[in-house]
Amino acid sequence: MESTLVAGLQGLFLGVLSLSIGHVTMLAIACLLLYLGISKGYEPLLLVPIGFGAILVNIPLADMMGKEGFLRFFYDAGVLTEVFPLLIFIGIGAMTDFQPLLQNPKIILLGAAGQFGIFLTLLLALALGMERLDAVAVAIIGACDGPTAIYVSSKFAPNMLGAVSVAAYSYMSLVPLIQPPIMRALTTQKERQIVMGAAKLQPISRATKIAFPIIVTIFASILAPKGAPLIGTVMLGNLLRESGCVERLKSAAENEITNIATLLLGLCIGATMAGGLALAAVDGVPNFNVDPSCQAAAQQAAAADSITVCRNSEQRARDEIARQWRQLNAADKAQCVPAAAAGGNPTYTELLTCLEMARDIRQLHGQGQPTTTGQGVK
Amino acid sequence: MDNWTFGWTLALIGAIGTMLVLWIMSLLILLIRKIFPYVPEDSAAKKG
Repeated sequence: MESTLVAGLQGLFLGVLSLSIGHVTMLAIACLLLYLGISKGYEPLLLVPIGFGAILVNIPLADMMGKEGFLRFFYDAGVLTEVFPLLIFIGIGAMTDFQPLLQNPKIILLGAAGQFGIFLTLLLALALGMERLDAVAVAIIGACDGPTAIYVSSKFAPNMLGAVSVAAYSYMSLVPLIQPPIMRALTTQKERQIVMGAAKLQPISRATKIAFPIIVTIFASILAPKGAPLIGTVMLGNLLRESGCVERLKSAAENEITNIATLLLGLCIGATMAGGLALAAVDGVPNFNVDPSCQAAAQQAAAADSITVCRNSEQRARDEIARQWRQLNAADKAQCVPAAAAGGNPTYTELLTCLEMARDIRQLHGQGQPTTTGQGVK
Repeated sequence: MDNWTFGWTLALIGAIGTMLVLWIMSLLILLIRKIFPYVPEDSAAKKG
């Protein structure tokens, strides 16, 4: 009776006892994101769900990103499949008026400015020692383009999704603060007082507006097939807008689809900001007590030197993991360390096997080389 | 190929490729405008 009561009371405090520094740190960061979104108005549409998602995922034992967690469901269905950013792109297409571009096609070259931002950021990221695909994901921030940064990160560096998304949207929301001093530095007061009249531009036919998204989709997708989902969804949204015959679909793309996708995408991005993941990326090789596991193995083997053989084998596995630790993918580490420790008697052999399998799966998907040294764990 | 060469190659090819594609796209827009010229509503109504 007494032991049952004690166990029950312990159960009440299990969540508190399971709180780690990682959880507390990430909960504080989540609250900061909520503060920036709600009080400062920095991209609240995204920062509020991101902040709340980060709170949910850092509640100990709630396991929201576990196998059956509801955040895991949305993450797998919408982020890993890259569907959420694409749904947002349909909305962006439906909200975009391409008439000024169609009237004055030369202004399309201004789009190159965003691309130069990407390449500059890519070089900076590589100079800072980032892995190639991680640098590619970070580089998209340079274009000041949130949905594309999320899309590229979820494709090439899912382990960086949270950090890239928050950085991209923080950067975008800070543009009104960053731009004015630069503009003041580069122009005179007289230049800033010039009033620009509206240019007399040729009107555009409805057929042109309808043909534009169709032809651009075909041309750009043939030229860059990997970019077809991005350009295709933007242009689909724009076709809904310009066709003028699917008002309900256009309205849904602009409102319901975009809003639902933004909410779930924000929650999922926040869900990638688990304390365990952040710590796995910065911590060293975990310290496991392999003795219980080796003693159990020695009892089963009934050989005198079994425990020594087991310990030596574990030490070799640990050395191998330590050798590769810095090059291993952070998401794999975040997944494998808790998995190896889950049974209560963690072993380095289990951890090594898990990391090898994760690496092999990554390589099967064509992502292995950039997230490791290319050699992985042998 | 080391990371630095990779970065510069991607940046150079990317920058040149971007300018080229954007230029072709601007020509494409001019072509679409030629194929579907704007006809003022009143002259379209007269034709009709």
